Amino acid sequence: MRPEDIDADDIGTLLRRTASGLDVRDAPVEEIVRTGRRRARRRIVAQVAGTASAVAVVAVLVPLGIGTRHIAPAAPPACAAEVAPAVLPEWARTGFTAPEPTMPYVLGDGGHIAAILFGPLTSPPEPDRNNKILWVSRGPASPGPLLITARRSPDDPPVVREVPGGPGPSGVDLPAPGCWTLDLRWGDRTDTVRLNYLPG
Amino acid sequence: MGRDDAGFRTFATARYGPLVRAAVLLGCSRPDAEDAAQDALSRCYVAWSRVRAADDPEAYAYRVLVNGISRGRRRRWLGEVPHAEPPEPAGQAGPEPEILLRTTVGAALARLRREHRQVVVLRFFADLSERRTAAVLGVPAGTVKSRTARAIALLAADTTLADLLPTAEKEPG
Repeated sequence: MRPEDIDADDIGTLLRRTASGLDVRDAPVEEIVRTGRRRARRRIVAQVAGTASAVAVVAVLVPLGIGTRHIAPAAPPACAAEVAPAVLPEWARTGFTAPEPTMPYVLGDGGHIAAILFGPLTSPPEPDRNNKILWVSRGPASPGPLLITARRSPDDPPVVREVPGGPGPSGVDLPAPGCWTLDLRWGDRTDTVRLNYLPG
Repeated sequence: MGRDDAGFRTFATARYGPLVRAAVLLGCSRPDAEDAAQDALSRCYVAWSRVRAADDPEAYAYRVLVNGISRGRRRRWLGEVPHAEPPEPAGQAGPEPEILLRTTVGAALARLRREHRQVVVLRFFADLSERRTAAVLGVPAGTVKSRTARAIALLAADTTLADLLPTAEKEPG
């Protein structure tokens, strides 16, 4: 064959012939699972350690009187390391066909809103998926957008997002990974949720 | 953690071989290819709920593999030995034609730039579409298309490959 006659099919043929000549042993699945479990544990420990170190800093500095000329900031409530799927509250099942739909969700502190998650939230967002959150209001609210004011710590400047139609489907990207506190306002209602954004 | 371990095991069993082979074609030595595939699948285990929910779990695994190999390259030399010429002249079928095929194809791939090699392996070995390849590499589909065309042109110009293909395959009729 002349080189100029080589096309995509030929390249595919050569690659597959080359690859098929490699005798690959069976997948070491148990070893992979063990490694995966260790990796998952390390991730959780790192998240917990981050929260614990923030608490420890406050616990050390406050008794020393450091920073007590101003009101010492309380450690913000921590985010859950992983939001496990659970049966949605009855008032948050609109649009789901299963009688008892199970989804990962976070309830507002006041119980007025649910943030239903469709996968881990990441910052930056994964290239092939966005940070989709379905907001469901408990009970009706006057029309208007859902306004989100997000902070990682009380001293940080707020990051503002808006869901134009009010509670409903949204993509909420935030500028950095970490535990974010989202103060929500829609119509005449308010609530607060904490969401963990993993490193993307 | 409520993981679907059985589902993951099925996925890992099915994907391990193709991932090892893809890693070899991407330039890893055999042991490094096995490490890269295991590393990719263990990362898929951690993110299994995300992988399972993804539109294309297979492409997700390839993306983790490609990223892992790129990270590894930045950290260390993976042991690939590119040849300016194949160790034996192409076309002389020796006693071990598989080795000749592997070294010749490996050397031709090694002469490509990394981005060209990636699209060649993903498009023509993994059999991913332009859109899926674009998702794996995190680039627009148009970029995949242009890289693919360039890679085909470079491989077509590589005289060592032509003799590996039987003439009969290209004869009309």
